[in-house]
Amino acid sequence: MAPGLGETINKLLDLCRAHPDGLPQRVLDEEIPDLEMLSQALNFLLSKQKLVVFTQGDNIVYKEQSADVAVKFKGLSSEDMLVYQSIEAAANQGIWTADLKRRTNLQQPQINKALKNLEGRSLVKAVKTVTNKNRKVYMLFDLTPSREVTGGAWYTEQDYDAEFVDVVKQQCLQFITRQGLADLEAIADAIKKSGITQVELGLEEFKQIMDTLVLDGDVEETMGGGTYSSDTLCYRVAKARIPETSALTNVPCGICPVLHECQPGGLVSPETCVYFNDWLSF
Amino acid sequence: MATAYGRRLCCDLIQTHFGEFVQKVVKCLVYRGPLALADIARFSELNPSTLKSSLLVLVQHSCVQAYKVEHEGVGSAPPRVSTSYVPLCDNILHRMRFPKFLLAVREDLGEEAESLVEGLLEHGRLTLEQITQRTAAKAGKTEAEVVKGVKETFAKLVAARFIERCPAAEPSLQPKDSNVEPPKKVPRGAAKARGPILSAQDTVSEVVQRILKAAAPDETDRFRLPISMAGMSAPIVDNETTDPSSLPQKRKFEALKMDSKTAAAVDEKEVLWRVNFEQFLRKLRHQTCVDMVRTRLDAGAAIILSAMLQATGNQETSARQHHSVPLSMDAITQAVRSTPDGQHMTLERIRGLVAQLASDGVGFLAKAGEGGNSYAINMHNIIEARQRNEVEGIVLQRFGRECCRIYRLLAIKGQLEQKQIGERAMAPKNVKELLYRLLKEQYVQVQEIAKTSEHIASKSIYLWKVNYRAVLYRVLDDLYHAATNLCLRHAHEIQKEQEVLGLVDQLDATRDAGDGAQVSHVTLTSAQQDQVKRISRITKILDASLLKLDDAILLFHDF
Repeated sequence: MAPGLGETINKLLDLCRAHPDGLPQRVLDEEIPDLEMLSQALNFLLSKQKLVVFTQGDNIVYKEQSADVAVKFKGLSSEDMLVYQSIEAAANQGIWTADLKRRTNLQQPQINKALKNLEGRSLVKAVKTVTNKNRKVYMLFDLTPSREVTGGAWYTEQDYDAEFVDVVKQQCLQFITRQGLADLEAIADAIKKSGITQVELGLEEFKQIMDTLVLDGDVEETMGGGTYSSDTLCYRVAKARIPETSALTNVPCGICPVLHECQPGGLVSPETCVYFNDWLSF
Repeated sequence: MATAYGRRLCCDLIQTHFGEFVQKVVKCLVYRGPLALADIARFSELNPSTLKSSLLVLVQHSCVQAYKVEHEGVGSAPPRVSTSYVPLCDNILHRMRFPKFLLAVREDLGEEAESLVEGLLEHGRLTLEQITQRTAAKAGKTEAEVVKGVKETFAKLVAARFIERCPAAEPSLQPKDSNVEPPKKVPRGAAKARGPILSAQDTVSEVVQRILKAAAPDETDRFRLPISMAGMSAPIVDNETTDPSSLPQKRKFEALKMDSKTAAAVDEKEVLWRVNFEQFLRKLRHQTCVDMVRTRLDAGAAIILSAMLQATGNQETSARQHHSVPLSMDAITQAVRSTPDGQHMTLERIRGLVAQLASDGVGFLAKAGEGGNSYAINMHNIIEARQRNEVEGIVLQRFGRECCRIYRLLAIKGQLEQKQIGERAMAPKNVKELLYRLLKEQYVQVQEIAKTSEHIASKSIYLWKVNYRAVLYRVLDDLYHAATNLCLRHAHEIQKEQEVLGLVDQLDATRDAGDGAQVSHVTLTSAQQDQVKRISRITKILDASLLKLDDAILLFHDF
């Protein structure tokens, strides 16, 4: 070790402790004018993972790595660290290995090795996404995957749980039918209390359910009424339902999949139509 | 808006009602637009006398209207006048609604009126004298016995506007107006958007509208009773304003200069009367409005609306009236109290219901007049609400709940991407398939927004939307198609059972002639009896469905 390096390192660490929000490069330049020595010290600390570098806007800042974190990273190669940092940057969205490769400029085997190391130390984890079923994304071990990754409350094991949604919808509709008029919070409370689900459903999810009920024409929105003030959005059972029958769909032609190919004398024709046969001889 | 299958249905109806030759003529006109006599002869390949009588039949039944066009002379040649014929598709389609019309008039004015209207529908147009003769012949009485009753019923029908004087036989159309005949050429490439092109057809129907307007007598003349019934005191000389170009009118005008007795006779013998389809449509339209309000709001609101429609109906000027004339609150109250259902309604309740009908979310009544204490019925809104409801019902039945949800989502939100649709309609798994099904039947449209000039699919945005106008067109065409199919199938079934039906006719004939004294020599085997049962059942099903389908056609086409 070059003479004076130890001293510089100690000074650097002291400076870091004096700036808990991060030690800016500017301060460092003032305090340690010897550039040669400074760069050696920085490199040494960075390679030992005692120091981390951040960018704050246009400035580069340094921070001392805390002791327990330093232990976790002990013995990791610089490639491992590069991979780790890329994953860290992706936050709770996670990052796909192909993107990792692009981001880090490393070869696939190197990345695989790094991921294996990091996973072995419980630093990162692999999560399946709902958008691309056979694609795994990596994120830091202690993060909860975002809604985009898991699909939100309506997904069980990366699969959209249509039955579950239907059950909740029916419950909501029943509740509104019983109450006559209800706002979103009342509905959410009632469903949570009914204990039909262990899944944590937020107001956002209930809003989604109510929106589909409105679109289905089962429920209509109204402002206020009853005990609610006039600026709360309330729901009630819709008076004008979407008709269950219509003149067009009551005849076979109305629901015929090949209506556009149907013409007299054609391969499909009203004279020989099998749907007509069934309909006229029920 | 006559769709491809609408035209086809016209031809089929004429075929069943008037037979092969007449159908050929209609086919030419319906598919080619207005034509002169020579052109019809060329395209239909009928001999002149058959063609003439076919055309006469069509004119008699108001299925075709003749009109004169003045062409500017070329060079020193004098301008020449030619006569063209234009099909009235709406009137042709009305032919399948005759049962509905008869029912409507019976409800309003009783059975005598119904039988009178039936006669007019059967013969197209008749003079008062002919009507009297027909009634007498049917009842087996002399004309003198029935004439009083007929005239009373006749007057009632005219007062209710169910029948009218026939329009001019051959109005003239100004030459500069008539050059729309070749529909405007759509510039190349402009029509690339998917979906039907509506504009070309619209211009033709515009021409038809203008011709009809030119032909129609003015409002007061249209429903003027014959002189013998209106009383001699009425001033008859101010008829000079009538269109002198129309031949029957002119003749009448000359006749009026004679002594009043001859005039009255001419009026009875020469003025032709026909059924006023417009009034029947208006009545059916009102019914639809009232039904809509009943399902959307409640029976009380329906009573209010029905009373208001009754009070304002006479002042409607077009068949597709947008707004009724405004009624003050007092007038509404009075109208409601005078109906049997509404006579015990309190003022408070009436006010409440009116407010409900006029509220923002509903918009069936519109505030009008100074101070905003008068209300006009927004019939357009009511009909549109009903149409939307019907379309949604069709989507629901045809594509299922999830598709219906997507359709409604797009109708409300405008344009959305596939991913957004999946999330909002809560069908993320199969949204692609559902959208494709809707796209295939043209209920939704997709728009590509390319981010690169190479139109790379992965880099483009695809927006889905509902083009409501195109959807309406689609639905109407499907309705016509379904109706056509029902008619064809019915004709086919009848033809198939021709033999046994012939036997039945024969049986009926012998039974009528023989008084049961002669033992009839034809009997039906049990198999044949089953056949007869089957065919009558099928006829019932098909007829009932056709009437229902026609309700929907009325809703989408005529209201």
